[in-house]
Amino acid sequence: MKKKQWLEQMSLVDEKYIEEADPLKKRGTQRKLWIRFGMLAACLALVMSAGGVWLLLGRESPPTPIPPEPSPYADSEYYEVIRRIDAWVVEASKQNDKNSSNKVDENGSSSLNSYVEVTDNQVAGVIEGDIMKRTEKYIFFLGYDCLKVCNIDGENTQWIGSYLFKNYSKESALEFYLSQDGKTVTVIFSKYATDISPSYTIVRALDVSDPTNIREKAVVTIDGFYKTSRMVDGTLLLFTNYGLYGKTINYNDPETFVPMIQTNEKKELIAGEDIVTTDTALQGQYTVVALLSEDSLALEGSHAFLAYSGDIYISPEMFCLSGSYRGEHQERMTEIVGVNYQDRLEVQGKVHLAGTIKNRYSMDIYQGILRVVTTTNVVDQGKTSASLYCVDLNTWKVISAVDNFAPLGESVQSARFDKGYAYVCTALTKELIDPVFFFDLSDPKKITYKDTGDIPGYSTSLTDFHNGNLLGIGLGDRNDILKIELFKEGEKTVESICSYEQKKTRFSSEYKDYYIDRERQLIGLGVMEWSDEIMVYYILFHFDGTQLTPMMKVPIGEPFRCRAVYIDEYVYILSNSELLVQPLEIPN
Amino acid sequence: MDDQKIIELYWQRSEDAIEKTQKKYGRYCYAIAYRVLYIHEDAEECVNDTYLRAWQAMPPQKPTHLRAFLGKITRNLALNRYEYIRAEKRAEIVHTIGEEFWECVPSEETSIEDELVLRELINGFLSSLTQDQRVVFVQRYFYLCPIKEIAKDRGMTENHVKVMLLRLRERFRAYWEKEGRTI
Repeated sequence: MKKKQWLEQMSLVDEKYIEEADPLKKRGTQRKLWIRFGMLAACLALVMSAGGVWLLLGRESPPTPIPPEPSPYADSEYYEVIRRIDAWVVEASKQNDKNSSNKVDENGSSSLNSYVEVTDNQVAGVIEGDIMKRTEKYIFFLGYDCLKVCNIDGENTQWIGSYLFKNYSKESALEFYLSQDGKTVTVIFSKYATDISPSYTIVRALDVSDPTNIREKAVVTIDGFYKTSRMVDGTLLLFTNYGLYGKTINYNDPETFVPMIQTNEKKELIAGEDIVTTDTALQGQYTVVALLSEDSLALEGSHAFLAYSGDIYISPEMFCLSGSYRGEHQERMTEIVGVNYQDRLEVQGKVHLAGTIKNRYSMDIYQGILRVVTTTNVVDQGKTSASLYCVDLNTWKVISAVDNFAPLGESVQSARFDKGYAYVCTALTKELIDPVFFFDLSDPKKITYKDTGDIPGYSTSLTDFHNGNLLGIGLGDRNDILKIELFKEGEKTVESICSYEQKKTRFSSEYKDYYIDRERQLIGLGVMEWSDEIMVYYILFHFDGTQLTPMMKVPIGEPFRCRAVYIDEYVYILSNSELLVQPLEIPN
Repeated sequence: MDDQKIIELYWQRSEDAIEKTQKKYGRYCYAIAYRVLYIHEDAEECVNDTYLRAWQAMPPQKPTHLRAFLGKITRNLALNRYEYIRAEKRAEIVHTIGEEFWECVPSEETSIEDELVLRELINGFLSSLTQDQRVVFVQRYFYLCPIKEIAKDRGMTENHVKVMLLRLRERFRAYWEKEGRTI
């Protein structure tokens, strides 16, 4: 059965459920409210005009009252006219809704200010922190010592507000989140260990409903340095790494070996029943997980995982922690634990895989299958390769594997899963040569794959791009060459469409530092180039389907902590010290 | 007019049946068709075809919920028409929702020919959900509503709706596999 035919089968839904979900029912109620409002407004207007004083002067007219359904008038000779008028009135009421929401409220800020995603999240709906977020009206940027806000107004854009962090000399501001209503910013700081104090992570919730008057509203402190976080449906999942190295451990005093969380109300140890240990790995490190409400930072749950200190993958329902250890023959192994966090934190299962995980992009959950790419030791060869595993999350058993698919000596440099497919770039890092492998995982039990063959350089980041193509950003055949390449899936191989190389260039290998705009086919990043002199600039490319063309090179102060976004024919480039706005016309 | 009386008119083969149906449910059916086709004239034609199909279906049928019964007919007609007209950007939403719903299907080989089995599967799943979850699911995959519209209707953020749908698709797929419906 084809995909569309499956959708047609939804007609088998029981009629009581169809009625229950009828979206028009609510609109009927809203229409009645509008009618009442319209009548009230009309009455008020009548009273005012009768008194000779029009108090509504200077305000907008009330919306056109919506007449009743036209269907009772089917007999009328004007029925067709009535239907067209009805359609017009309904459209006009929608426009009125829009205009009302544009009104400035008593705080002087417009209510039309909804969140617009700028971060290229690994998993849809699982929001990642970043140093730039935006709404329809404002861009928020996290500097080293403050949060800054600018309006979005083309050449008239300027900073309109900022919030200085009190302890910026001791605490590093790492990334933040912006709530869907654009009114709360959640900033994450890390305080690293010194001789006299351990590492801890601080979370601050700021009220930004008025960007010119930002105020702190809540703060939470969690033991351990910051690892990662996600915002899912108004809940912040925060992961820290709490180490026991160098601590004097006293088993009579759990505070010496158990992590703690401090909220506005209290400071508490993570309960023993909420600590999970590995089957195998032995390490003096915990991954601490805290679930915090976005609005108030109320603690909704916490756990600690002893010796799971590797990379983390988070889906809308579950997160997977990894921990590495040595196997029987001293080969590298990884243990992964899956934890459901929907209602309460609950371990679902564990699996042991050969090899080590490169980063979070090496794991993915799709249709109940955990897919993992690892760099493996080929023990009898004394060299590395790469393997891909599919784990059934009902049983936590490996149901299929492609062992050692990469040429001997190569290791995983980047991976990207996209529903039923995966791309993996491996490389001989000493020689800077790589193939890109394309895996068809649509049937996890019958995995097939193909590759590009050897290509100079390798990609440190892979992502899907426009029209099903794959974008790789990484190194050329020397580690001072920036290489950006686009691939497509060919019949038997993965084919390169085009590439761009720039010599004597340094750039960030952190994926979030890249601007990826699939709709407009733009790619941007900050770079440092040295020839006769050192030049630091933001470079923006456009892909027209066949080639990559640099559209813009804008000098900036620092290449690695900056962000860019294209909005309404302007490119906005922000860094700690700069706000640059450039017009850009994108070719058709 | 009461639904039962309208159904009686169909059984009596009275031409008033169509007129009464049009008066009471014309807008409802139009909204369903327009959400798929986004072209006024084509949506209108689907609605007119709905009345014809209803005339052909009753008798022998006597639906308990006339509104939903008509809604299903319109939906099917609109989806079939969509295949032909392929209005570009407008049709994308149906394609997008189709792709989403495909994630619920356990495997490409899954095929259920017995309508009764599939009906039981779908409605068994829906009955296991909370009302909020069920309404969001049905609005998306039966009514083909955009995320924005569902969010507004339910008083949720768009992100909340997206996450909820993602989780529900996973749940539906797991439910499907557990019930062993793969044939």
